[in-house]
Amino acid sequence: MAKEMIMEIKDFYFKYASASEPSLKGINLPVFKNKITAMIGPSGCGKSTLLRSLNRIHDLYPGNEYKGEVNLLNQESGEFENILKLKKENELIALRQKVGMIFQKPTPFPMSIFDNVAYGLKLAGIKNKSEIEEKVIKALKGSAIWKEVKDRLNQSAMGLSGGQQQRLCIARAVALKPEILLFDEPTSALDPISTGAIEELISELKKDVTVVIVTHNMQQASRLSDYTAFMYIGELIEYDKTSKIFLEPKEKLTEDYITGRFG
Amino acid sequence: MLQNYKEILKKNQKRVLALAEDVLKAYELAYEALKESDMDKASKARDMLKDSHDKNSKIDNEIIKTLALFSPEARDLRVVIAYLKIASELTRITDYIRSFAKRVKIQISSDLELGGLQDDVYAFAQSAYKSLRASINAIKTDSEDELENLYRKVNVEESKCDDILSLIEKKLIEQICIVPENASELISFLNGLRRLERISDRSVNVVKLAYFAQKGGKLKL
Repeated sequence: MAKEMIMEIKDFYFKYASASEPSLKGINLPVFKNKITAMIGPSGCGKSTLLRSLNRIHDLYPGNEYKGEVNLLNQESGEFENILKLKKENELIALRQKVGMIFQKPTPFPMSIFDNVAYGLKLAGIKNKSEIEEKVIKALKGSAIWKEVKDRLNQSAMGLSGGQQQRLCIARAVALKPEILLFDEPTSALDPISTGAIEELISELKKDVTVVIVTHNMQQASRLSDYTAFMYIGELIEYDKTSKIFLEPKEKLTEDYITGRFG
Repeated sequence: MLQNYKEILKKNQKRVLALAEDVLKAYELAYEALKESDMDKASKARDMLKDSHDKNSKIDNEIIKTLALFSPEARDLRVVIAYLKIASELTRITDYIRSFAKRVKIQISSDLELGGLQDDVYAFAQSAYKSLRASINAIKTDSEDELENLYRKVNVEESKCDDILSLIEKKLIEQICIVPENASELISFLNGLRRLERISDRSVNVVKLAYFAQKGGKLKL
């Protein structure tokens, strides 16, 4: 099957409001549909900054500057649209429904398990109760947490374990049927068993969703992703198939990083 | 465990077992060629293993990829390492079978009479075959008891091979003394038999690797 691009980052620069220099410089990166792209690199290299640019979540704080293009495929028209041109708040909300995000620390809302997933659906304008219920159950099942929560849907989500909370957050994002899911170190706060469960889930999700994941865990990047991007001090040093990056990277810097010689 | 990791481990096992099946079939053909003086079967045995080095390279590369991408640990690591080395042992065995089949062809074309040696040669070839088959079964089994039995069996057959070969060597030397003009053909045939002896040696390595994969311990070949 030919790989299809869903997002294309072109000559992208990003500068934080308080910074004098851009944190990201001249990034060019394709994101392929139904594939997992991992972003690796030492702390401060800009991988989370880049990830957060992909659904304009930086815009929650004023004064940041974008330059270049982040083109997202419009599934209906088949045309790419530059998300950096979006200005209106409702356009940005719609973008974040298409490009969802899972953070390092699970962020369940202080409400019931059911309502955590239903919340986004209600915000998206779905009012029909049975439709909401159907979508919540589907999302919980699709996020491999249904069996654990089906008997306590009305209990607080805060009572779940860290791994369960993270899967609930994934269910919350999945319920909105995003096209891309961005994962910002989703397992760094979890134990190995929960990490395994989340990794299996991400691997399953790629049938329906495109995934971009930032991780400090090199083994996670290698076993999970199809493509890997290595970043260093705000620049994209190398991008290729994961097997290529982990077996025979072209750049010495990449090799030094993945073999633990620096970073 | 990630589904694709599971699948990759299974694929590695499948590739190694496919190579093992080729080896067994080729050996059977080479043995039949010897018994039936069938030149065609000897050629087929050789042809069957023509691309075994390519298959081994493929296995090597897939296993390197598995190690690089999935960092297997504990039993998974032992299994992956064992497959890497088993594939290499099997490939050496394919060389011995090809070489043996070639010498069978020479023997058939030269009408070399084995005289009283024939039964010993067949028994020897049978023992080498049994050690090979048992070692391949050891790769397949999940049962610890069966593995123990196969381990013993391979070692017994390998010892038998050593004993029968010494016997054959003595008889061949006697035969050379009686008919010195056949010396070069008989020595060439003896070299072919030595390949079979090496097959049984390599089978011991294969079963040791299968044992290491399942039960661990230190690798010692």
